Amino acid sequence: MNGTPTIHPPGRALSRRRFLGLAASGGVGLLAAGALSACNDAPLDPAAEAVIDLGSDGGVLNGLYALSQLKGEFANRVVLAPFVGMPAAGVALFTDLREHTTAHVGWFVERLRSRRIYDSLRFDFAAVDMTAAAVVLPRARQLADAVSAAYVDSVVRLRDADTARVVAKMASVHARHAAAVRDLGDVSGTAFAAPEAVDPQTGLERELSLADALEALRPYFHSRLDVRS
Amino acid sequence: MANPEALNRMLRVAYLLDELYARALASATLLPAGTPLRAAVQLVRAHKAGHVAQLLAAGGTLPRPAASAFNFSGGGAPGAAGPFPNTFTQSAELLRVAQLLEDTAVRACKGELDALRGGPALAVAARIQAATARHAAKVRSLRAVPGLKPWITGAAPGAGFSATPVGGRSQAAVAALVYGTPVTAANAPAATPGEDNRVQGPITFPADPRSTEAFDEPMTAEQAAAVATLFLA
Repeated sequence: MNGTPTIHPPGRALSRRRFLGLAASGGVGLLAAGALSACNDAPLDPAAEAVIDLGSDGGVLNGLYALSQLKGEFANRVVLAPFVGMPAAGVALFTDLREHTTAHVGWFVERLRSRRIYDSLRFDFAAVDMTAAAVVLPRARQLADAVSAAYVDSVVRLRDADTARVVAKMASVHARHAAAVRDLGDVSGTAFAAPEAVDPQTGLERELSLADALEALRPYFHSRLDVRS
Repeated sequence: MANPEALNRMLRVAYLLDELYARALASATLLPAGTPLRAAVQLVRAHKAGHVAQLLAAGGTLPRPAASAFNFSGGGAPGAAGPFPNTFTQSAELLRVAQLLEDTAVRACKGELDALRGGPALAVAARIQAATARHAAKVRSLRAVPGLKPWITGAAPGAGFSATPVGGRSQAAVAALVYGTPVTAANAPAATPGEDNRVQGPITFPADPRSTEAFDEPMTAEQAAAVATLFLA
């Protein structure tokens, strides 16, 4: 089955460019706005398998980079075409999710440079009815929970302390996202940290490794990811 | 063997939050039965009790403080009047205190991850951080303050923190301890940044609120203690 091409509407590309019009503190000028997708040091063949070797820090970051692209894509689709009955607060929420994820993407690009997987991974939403709340909300919860757990795993796996420190900063934000997504439309008051997401006995975030998160979310990826543990 | 000092610092904050919610739930009227507010606080409290147990199991040794050691008015010494006199009589005040302590807990936990690196307690701490971040997001949402998001925007605590000093400090001053002081060209990057930090390794993000929201900043042990000491001797 052919996957649908990744959507790059002006708004999305603009926000990505905005966050990537960055100034490196070391004084080295970064890529000009819009130059990212034509960057010479990134693999340009979308048909090539993206190898993600989770035994290395670079591989872990690439795994998170792939998840960030997916989360940004999902959030962007919701923002561009809010499902029927979406509250205004929901649009603002998914807009923030998209923008935060875009900031993380910018960091991964800079941190990984020529070791990064393809910048414009292709996704497959053909089987997903993004117009229906009953479809979008459970998927958003699953995605947000999986990304939060993957970040927890990554914080533990990363060997370089400086890298782990920045990833840890992102990790708690993804947990906040998961709580807020689960809160949307919730009348019980407890969905934000329901037993599926947080173990009620220990109070600990449920474990899902980066590898397992990528596997669970594989149906969204049209681009082939070769994940090696 | 896990670093007991790091775990004990995390335990201090966990005891603080566990006690806050236990007292709130014990009130006959503060959190009415059958409400989503009470259900949320009950769930968070259960998780905090779990965190205490997990931190002790991981090698923490700090015993539970005596009830008299806590002062949820934020006055510091037990019995001293602080800027939050209505923590257990007004749910809005409870949520203000909870917001400050939850965001402190997230930042303090994050600050301890380095000390736990290489040991089995790191995974526990990382999972506590995530759950605590969910708690913080929920408390911020429960406050229902316009513009106050589940995530931290710059160094802004959000509206509602009084500037009137009681017992030597105001609610706003306590909030400033939690969210930090602005990073300047003079003090970056050596200064531990506040929540308005935009410098992430080699990248300085543009001055957009979402840049600061996208990254939660760690606190040093000293910064965390400066907040905790106001509520727990």
